[in-house]
Amino acid sequence: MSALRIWGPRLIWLVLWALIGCGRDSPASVAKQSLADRLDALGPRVVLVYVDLSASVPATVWDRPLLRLATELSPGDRVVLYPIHERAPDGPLLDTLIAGSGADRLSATLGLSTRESRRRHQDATEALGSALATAAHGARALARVPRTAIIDAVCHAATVAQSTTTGGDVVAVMMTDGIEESQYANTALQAPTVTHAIALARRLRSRGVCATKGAWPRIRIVGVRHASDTPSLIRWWLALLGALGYTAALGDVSTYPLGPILGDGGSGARVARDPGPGGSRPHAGS
Amino acid sequence: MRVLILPTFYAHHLELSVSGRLSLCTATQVAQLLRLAHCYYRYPLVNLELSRATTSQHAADVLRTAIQSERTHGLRIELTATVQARALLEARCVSPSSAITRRIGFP
Repeated sequence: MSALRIWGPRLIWLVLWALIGCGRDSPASVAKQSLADRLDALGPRVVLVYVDLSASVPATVWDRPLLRLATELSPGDRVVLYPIHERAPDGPLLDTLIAGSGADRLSATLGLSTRESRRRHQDATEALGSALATAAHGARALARVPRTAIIDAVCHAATVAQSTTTGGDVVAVMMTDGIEESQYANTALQAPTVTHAIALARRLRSRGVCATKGAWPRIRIVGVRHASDTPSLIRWWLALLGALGYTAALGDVSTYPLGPILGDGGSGARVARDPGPGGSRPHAGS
Repeated sequence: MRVLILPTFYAHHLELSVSGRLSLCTATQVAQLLRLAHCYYRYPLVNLELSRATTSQHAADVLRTAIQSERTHGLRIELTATVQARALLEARCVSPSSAITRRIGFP
């Protein structure tokens, strides 16, 4: 009888917790999912950067975003720089990696790095930023492209993301003014409307362009601006990506001046501030 | 002197350029990158460029061990270094086959 008195309430609590924990949207499963998401966010990323080299974009406009992107990276992240040409890029301009182990990455993310490792990481990101900018300048000097096929670059990113087998988060950063001038559309001449974007997406899918079946990379379109109507251009891109099967949020398409380039939740811990022209150097991991 | 490691992935090889004075920590990072080449290439080849780097004895020991270990695991490493660094790195890099040959007394 005394055993029943002791074990009875415990059994009821056990059943209750089991019921709470087994629910699909229960607090326990949500917490578990959140923990899994956090752990995924700690894994090394593959960052595909596409820079617009068209004549309509000034030569040095991507220097600061590239430097800023470099400061947002963590040890172990791989960065691949591609040009945005009149067709899908043939090969990368630069394919590199921030040196460091998983322990370095965790320390940088949690802000536990020593001053020495922070300095080393800072040197590495600065070198990477300037290497990215140099590669972009070199590519621009070789070919000034009259047309800008951003859609081809987006589709290329989707193809690369599907063939990436490392299992980490894949982010595609499109550094472009967002003005598509290709065989598919010309938003410099034609007003970018949502109807036009949906019709274009339908046409692309019927041609087999961008007919992705796997997971999309996380897409960030940075630097979008239109001479007369930037909001309509942003709506055009959101509608086009949505109709192609990728759900983009408004925050994923940014105008100038820039917010965080990678824009993930964890980046706040990794980026201190925008370095600014001639400003003090940012401290990664602080 | 700032130490910079800039790995660059090419279609068939990884180019690893190091400049500055290598510390123990940097040598460990280079060793990690050498190991990483196995993940990205089917027939991994690393072009290790150390001609603008100076190295301490301890860092050279770490690097030498890493190079030796990775070579036994099938990684091809093409080393470009100053005469002094090369001497430090390759002085005792003995391939396993030649080590066995020496031990059992063959010429």
